[in-house]
Amino acid sequence: MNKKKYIMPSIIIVVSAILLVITLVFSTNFIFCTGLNSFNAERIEKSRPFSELAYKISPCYSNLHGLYDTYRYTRYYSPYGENGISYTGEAPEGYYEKCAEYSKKMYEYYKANSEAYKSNQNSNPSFDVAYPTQGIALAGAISNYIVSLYLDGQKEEAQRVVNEYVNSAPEDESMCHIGVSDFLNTVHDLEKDINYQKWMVEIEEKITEEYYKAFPEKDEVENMFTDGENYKPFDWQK
Amino acid sequence: MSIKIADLTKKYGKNIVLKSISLEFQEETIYGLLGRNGVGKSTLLNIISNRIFKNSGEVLVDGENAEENTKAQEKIFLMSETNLYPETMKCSEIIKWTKEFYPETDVALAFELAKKFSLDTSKKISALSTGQRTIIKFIVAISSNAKYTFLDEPVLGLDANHRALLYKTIIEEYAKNPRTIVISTHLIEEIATVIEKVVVLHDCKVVLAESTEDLLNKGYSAKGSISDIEEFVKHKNCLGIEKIGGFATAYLLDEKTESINENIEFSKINLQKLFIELTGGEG
Amino acid sequence: MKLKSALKYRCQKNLKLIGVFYLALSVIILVPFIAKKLFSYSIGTFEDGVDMFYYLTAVFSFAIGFLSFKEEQDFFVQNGAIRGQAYKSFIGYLPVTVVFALAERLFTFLLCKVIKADYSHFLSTKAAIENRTFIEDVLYETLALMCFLCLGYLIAIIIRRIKPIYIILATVLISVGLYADYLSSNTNRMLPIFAYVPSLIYFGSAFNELVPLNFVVSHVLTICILLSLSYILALGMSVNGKEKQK
Repeated sequence: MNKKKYIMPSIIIVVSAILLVITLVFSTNFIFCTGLNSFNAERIEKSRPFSELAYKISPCYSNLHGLYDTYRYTRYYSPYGENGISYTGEAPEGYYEKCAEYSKKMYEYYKANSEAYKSNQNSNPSFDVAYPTQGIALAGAISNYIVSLYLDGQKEEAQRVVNEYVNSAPEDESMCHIGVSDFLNTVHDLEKDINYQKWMVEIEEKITEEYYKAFPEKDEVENMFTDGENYKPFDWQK
Repeated sequence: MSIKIADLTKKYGKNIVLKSISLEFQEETIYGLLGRNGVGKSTLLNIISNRIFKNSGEVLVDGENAEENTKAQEKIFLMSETNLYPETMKCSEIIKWTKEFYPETDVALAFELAKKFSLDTSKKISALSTGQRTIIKFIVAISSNAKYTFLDEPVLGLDANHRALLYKTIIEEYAKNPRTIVISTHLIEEIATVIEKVVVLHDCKVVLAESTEDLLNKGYSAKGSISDIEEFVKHKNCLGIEKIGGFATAYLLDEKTESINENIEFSKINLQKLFIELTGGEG
Repeated sequence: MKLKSALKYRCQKNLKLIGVFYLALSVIILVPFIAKKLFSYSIGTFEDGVDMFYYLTAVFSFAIGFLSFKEEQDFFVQNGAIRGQAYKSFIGYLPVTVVFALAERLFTFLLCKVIKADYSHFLSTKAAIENRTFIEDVLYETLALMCFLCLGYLIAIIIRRIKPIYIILATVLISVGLYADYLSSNTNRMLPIFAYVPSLIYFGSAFNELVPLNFVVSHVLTICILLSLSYILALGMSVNGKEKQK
């Protein structure tokens, strides 16, 4: 049997295997398994360059989602100190800027495809991880966006976006509630400007009011974030 | 134009089946490929038909290497003992697909033969008996009009009537459309009247490759007393000697020479007897 | 000439099989709904499970590839087609899986219509979110089905070529490996490769989300690997299977 006939297929196998590994491992964030274990901040930090590379090569939903996942401010550089899923300390340079950029992209993506999130039939048990239902994804993205803007120092921009979001009357009031609540929780103890604090209280009252209208039976809901008129920033120095 | 086999060797593990076989199947000739069980007849045909691979040697079909060669294999059709047709395929579909793969197939002839052999072509292979499977395989082989048609055990499971019809068909189709037909079988006497040339395999080698006529002319028996016979067979190609009491019968394959000894009786021997003596006698 | 005949044989046989497959599925799926209409009792709904037919199609594609090897190889050799032609006819047959993908999409669409599910996204849940076109979806599905077909074909060759004891050994090793992977995923000590390899190859991403470029590239490369392996193993194999080329 002519051995030469085996040379070409062998070359194809080797070259294809190498290209396959490069395509799947090194041009995605798989190498450090983003999303595999969201409690491993170190691993997620290492996956960022690969996530960005993957997004650059193929700017599709999946790569954007992966990239967005690596830039979730609450997980990695919490301003409140170390917990199970975050570091303390200084965020790298430009970190919050990127958080804001990718969160904005995700938010716009979800907004553009909001029809898909209204139908029940998007809830496929096999894809629960990637395809959240009922606007939770949109709320998560807006939340990440707003807080990232704030932590990046763009407080006025954050304020503008919150106003725009709340006044745009999102159809699902509970999602609006979630979307802004993270922001209020984060900013609650960090903001020193009284005017800004006043505005925060107004926003909170507004969304609570809308929430009561949507869910009148939930009379236990109160001003959970700012204690309303009794609002006082928490003093960390004590 | 022929099939030339040069120095062909085939082993199964440590077991050598064919050792340095050199042979030629000329065009437009009917061959009988004879040999004892397990001697390698089917192996040889399978190697030529590209079904199994040789260990060494060369097989050329009209000058082309037979192995994995479309041009060579287009000219060959092997009817083998093993069934390689899908069990769920109907006989009519087999004929139809043979026509697809061998464009010179005579479909009308195939259906005509099926009628003669009383074969229902709407039946699937799985529903056929051993004999009927042999029949359908034979029908497609002979209808294919392939330049080199190999029939490996074409009478397996056939009754006497069908066997007679089969031999008649071979001769008729050969006369209409001359080609090389190689028949491998154990029923030597029946095939003797059909084949033109004989190839005998024994002990991994080709021990004989001659025309049937020459073989039958050269083969004869000499009967007499043991001493006379032993004297007579000296310097002759003696295949074997049977001794009973004080008498012996020698089987020879040689040019007949007149014996001075009038006590020796000569007679012709048939192909089967010749084959038995050539391949190691009875047992 | 024989290559054309071999390809014709494969197409005729397998397309018939695909037709029978969907006919059987239709009967199995529709009978409860017809019974529901006739006897007016409530049964479960299919709304969330419509996409499962894709997986059935994938498994069937694997089965076609697996079962086609032995029968077709023998049949082609009987009819004088060399192994190279039999193999090329298999490659030539691969694009025909687009018919399979189209049939699957059509079947799902018709099923949605019959059971009055929301079929606005009958293309797939993925398409609804990612705004893929119907043609893109069929392309991706075709590539995936080709992979399953090639995988079935390769495994059939391997089983025919390799002694049963090695197959048993390989099965045991893979089972042990999967179990070790399962254990490691619970302790987080090792990277659970097997949890991600299917997703990587199938979607082109570690998540269960489609990355179009990666998907196409990974599937094409996988098909190349499977076909090359099949070529190497099949070409040296005799018709009775167990004998190896010396």
